[in-house]
Amino acid sequence: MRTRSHRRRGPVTPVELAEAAVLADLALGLVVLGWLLPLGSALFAAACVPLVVLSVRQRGRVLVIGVTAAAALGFLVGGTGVDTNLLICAAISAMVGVGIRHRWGPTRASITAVVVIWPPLAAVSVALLLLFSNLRRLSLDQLRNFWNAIRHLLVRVGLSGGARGGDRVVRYGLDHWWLLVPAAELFAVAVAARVTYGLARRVVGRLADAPARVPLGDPDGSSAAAAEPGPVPVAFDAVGFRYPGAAADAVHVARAEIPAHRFVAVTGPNGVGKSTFVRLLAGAEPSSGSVDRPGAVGLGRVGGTAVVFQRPESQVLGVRVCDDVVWGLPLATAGTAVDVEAVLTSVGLAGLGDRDTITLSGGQLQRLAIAAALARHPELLVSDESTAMLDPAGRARLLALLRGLPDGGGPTVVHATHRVDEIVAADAVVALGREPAARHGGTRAVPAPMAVRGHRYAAPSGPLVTLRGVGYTYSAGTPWARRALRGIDLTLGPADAVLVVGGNGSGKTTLAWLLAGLLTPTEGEALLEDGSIVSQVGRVGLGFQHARLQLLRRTVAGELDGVGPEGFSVHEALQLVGLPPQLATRAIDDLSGGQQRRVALARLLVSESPLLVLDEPLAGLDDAAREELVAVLLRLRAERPFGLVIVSHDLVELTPVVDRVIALRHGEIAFDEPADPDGRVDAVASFLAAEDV
Amino acid sequence: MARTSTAPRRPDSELRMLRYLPGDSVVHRLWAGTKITVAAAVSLALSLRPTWRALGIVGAIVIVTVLTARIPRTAVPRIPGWILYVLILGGVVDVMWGPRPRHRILGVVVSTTALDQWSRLLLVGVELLALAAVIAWTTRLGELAPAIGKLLRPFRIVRLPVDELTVAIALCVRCFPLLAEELRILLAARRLRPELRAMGVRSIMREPVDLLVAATTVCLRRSRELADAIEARGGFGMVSDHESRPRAIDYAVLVATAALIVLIFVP
Repeated sequence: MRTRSHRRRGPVTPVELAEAAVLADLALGLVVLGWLLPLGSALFAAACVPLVVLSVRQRGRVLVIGVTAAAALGFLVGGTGVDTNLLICAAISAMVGVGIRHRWGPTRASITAVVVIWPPLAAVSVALLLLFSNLRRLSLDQLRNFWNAIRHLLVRVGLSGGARGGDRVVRYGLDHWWLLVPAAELFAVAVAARVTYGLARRVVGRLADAPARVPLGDPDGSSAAAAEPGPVPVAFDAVGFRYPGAAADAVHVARAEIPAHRFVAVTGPNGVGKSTFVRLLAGAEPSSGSVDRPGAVGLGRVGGTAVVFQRPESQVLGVRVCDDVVWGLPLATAGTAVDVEAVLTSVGLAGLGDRDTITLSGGQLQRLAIAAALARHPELLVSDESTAMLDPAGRARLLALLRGLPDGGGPTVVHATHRVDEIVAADAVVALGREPAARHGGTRAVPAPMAVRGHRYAAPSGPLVTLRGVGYTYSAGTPWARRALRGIDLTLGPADAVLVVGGNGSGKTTLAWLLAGLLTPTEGEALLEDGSIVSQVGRVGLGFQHARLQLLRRTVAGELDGVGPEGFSVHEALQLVGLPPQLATRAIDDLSGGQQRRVALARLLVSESPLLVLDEPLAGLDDAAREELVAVLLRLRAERPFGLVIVSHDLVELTPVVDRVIALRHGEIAFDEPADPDGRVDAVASFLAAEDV
Repeated sequence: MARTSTAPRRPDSELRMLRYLPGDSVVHRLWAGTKITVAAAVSLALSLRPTWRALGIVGAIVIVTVLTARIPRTAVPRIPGWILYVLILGGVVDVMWGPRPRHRILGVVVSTTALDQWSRLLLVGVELLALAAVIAWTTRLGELAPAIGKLLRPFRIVRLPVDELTVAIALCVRCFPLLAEELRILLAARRLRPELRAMGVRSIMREPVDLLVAATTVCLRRSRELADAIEARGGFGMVSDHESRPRAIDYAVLVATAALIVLIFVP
C-alpha cells in the first residue's frame, strides 16, 4: 500500500490537481449512473471509492478542490440531487481515507467516520429542515397522507390491530422528525462507511501494482525559473537515467548532440527508453553523466521547451479549441499575448477555434497540441511518439507539419518514433540501443506467415453472422441523435476473416460493438447463426483497443485461469499469443500496454468464441510486437476455423491475415472486396488517404 | 453497475444526461454566471416558499426560457418507468384515501388537501430539475469554469483557492466525457464475460472491487498524462480564450429575477 509519507505544503501541483479532477469526475460519473439505474443507490459506496483513493494519496485540500469542481459540473449534468450525493460521498470518503492511511481496522475506521461525520450532518440536516419549514411541512404532510391511506386499506382488509400499532409509530416519527432524520442518517452513514471501507481498502491495496509517476522535466524547476531559456543545442555525455527503486538504467546515452533548427528523430524499440530520453530533454536530472545546454530548459515558457505526447485526448486540456491554445499561459497576458487564429491556421486548424475539443479527431487533437506549443514560441519542440496512435492520413499530415517547423529559424524538433519512414525524413537520428539482458518477455519463434496460407479456404460454409439492413443511431429520438451506421448488409462464413477500414467517424467501432451484441441495431437485424446477436451477448469475443478495461483480475493467471476448455493451462494460453510463461504470476498493471493487449487476446482465443472482433489490435505497438501479433493471428487461423473481424487502419500489415477488406465511409459500406495480398492494398490505401480527417 | 445482461434491451448505450443543445437565442447568449445565479436564487426561493404562486412564477420562468431557447420536446430526458409508477401509485393512494374533507370531482371522490399537497410537492421537484436542465441545455460546458471563477473572485479575500478551483473545473469538464466513455467500455467488457454473470455470494464483493480497480487505474493513468501535459505547458494559468463577464442584458435579467423573487415572498 502506497501512502503519502508526509504532508505536502504550498500551492497545489499539476499532479495533485489532475488526480483531483479525474478521480472526482469518476465519482461524479458513478453518482450520475446511480441516478439513472434502478437500484443505483447501491452505487453510492462505489462512488465513494475514487474519492477515498484521492484522500489516501493526496492532502485534504486537494480532495476539497476536486469535489467542489466536480460538484460545479454535477449541477449542470444532474442538478442539486446529484450534488448532495456527491458531497456526502466526499465526507465519508475523507474519513475512510484517513482510516486506511492510518491502517485502522474496519470497526475503528467506520466508528471514527460516524463520530466525525454524523453530528455535523445531522445538525445541518435539522437546520436546513428548520430553515425550509414550508417544504418540510409539505413533505411530512405528504407522508402522513400516504400513511393514512395505507391505514385505511389495512383496516379494510381486517388488519386493524396492525393499523393501530403502525399508526402510533408513524405519528411519533412524523411529530419527532428532528429525531427521525438524524437517526436515519446515523444508520445510513454507518452502513456506507463500512461498505466503502471494505471496497476501498481492497482497491487501494491493488493500485500499488501500477507504476508511480515520475515528474516531467525538473520537478523543482523554481531554481532554474529565473534563468533565460536556452534549450538547444543540447549535448548528452555518458548520460544514464534510473527511476527510483529500479535495478537498471531506463536509458543510457553514450554521446548525442541535438543541433539547433533541425528535425531530429529518436528511435529504438518499445521499452528502450525513448520516453525517458524525452524527459531528459524536458529537464529531468540525469542519474549519471551530463546534459549540456546554453540556458535553462524553460519547460512551457516562451523561448523554452515544449512537449507533445502520444495519446491525443490526454494532452489537450482546453474545452474549446481556442481555449486549449492559451491554456496555462500566465493570467496577466490574457487577450494580448497570442494570435490564436494565426497559430491555428499554421497547424491547419483554421476556423475551428470555437469547436469543442471533444469533437476533434486524433490527428486534429495532435495538431492542436502543437498549436498550443507554438503559442509559446519554443526553441525546442519534443514529440514523444506523437504519431503512434494516428491513422495513416492523420500521421502523414502531422509528420509533414513537424518536419516543416524548423525551417526558417523555427524550433528544433525532436521526434521519438519507431517508424522507419519517419526516421528517413529526419536531418539527424539518435538511435537508442538496448543494454544486454534488459529485454523481458522476448519473442518466440512463430511459423512463417506464408506457410499456412491456402488452408483457410477449405473451411465449412453456412453463414456465421448475417447483418441485414443494419443501421445504428446514438441517442435516437433526441436532439443529439447521431447516425453511426446505415444499411449495412454483411454475411460472414464460419471461417471468414474480414478487415474493416475507414476514416475517423466512419462507424467502424460501432460496427464492432454491434457484432459483439453490445448494441441493438436501431434498424435491420443482426444474427449470429440463427438468433439475434444481442440475445447471445458473450458468445462473440471483442478485443477493445484499450485492453486494460477488459482485464479485470489482478494477475495474468487470474485472468486466464479456467476460461478455456477443460485441462487448458494458463501457460498454453500465454503460448498462444507468444508470451513467456513467467508472465503468469505478474500483476496486470505491471505489464506494458502491448502485453496487456496480448493477454486480453489470449483470453478471447481460449474461450473458443465462434467469432472474434478486434478493435485496432496493432495501435501503439512497435514493429516487433506488431509482426508477432500478425504471425499469431495467421497461425491461429490455420489451426482452427473461426470468424475474425479486425477493425483497423493498419492496412498493409493486416491484409495477409484476412480474406476480405470492407471500407466504411459515413456509416455505409463503400466497398467490400476480396483481399488480394498484392493488388488491392493500393486501392484501399488510396481510399483511406482520401478520407482526410 | 450491477446491471445484468438479461435485461431485454438497454435504452441507449450513451450515458443519458443533460447536455448542451447548440442554439443562438438570447438565453444561449446570456453569461453562464447569470444563468447559474438565477437558477440558484430561484431554486432557493421556491424551496423556502413552495406556494402555488411561487410554483406559477418559477414555472413561467422555465416555460419562457424553454420557448425562447427553442428547446425541442425530445430533449426532455425519459424518466425511468419505475420512478413514474411509484409517483403515480403514491399520488392515487394519497388522493383516494387522503384526509377529509373529500369532494366529488369528475365522478371520483378525492381528498382536495391531499391533491393539493401531492401536486405541489411533485411540481417543486419537477421545477427544480427543470431549472438545472434549462442551464445545461443552453450553456456550453466550456463557459462553466471561467464563469464560476469570476463569480467566486470576491472570495479570494478569504483565501479561497479560486484560481486552482477554476482550473480544476475546467479539467473536470474536459475529462468527464472521456471518463464516461471509459466507464461505458468497462461495463461493456463486463457484459461480454459470461462467467461474471453467473455470480455467487462470494463474488459480490470481489466484482465491484475488480471493476473499481480497472476504472481507477485507467483514471490514474489519465491523470498522469494530464499532469505531464500541464507541466509541459509550464503549469497553470489561463483556462479560456474568451473573457468571461456579464453584459447589460445580464444585469437586466438579474434585476427582473430579483423582482420576481420579491413577488414570491410578499404576502
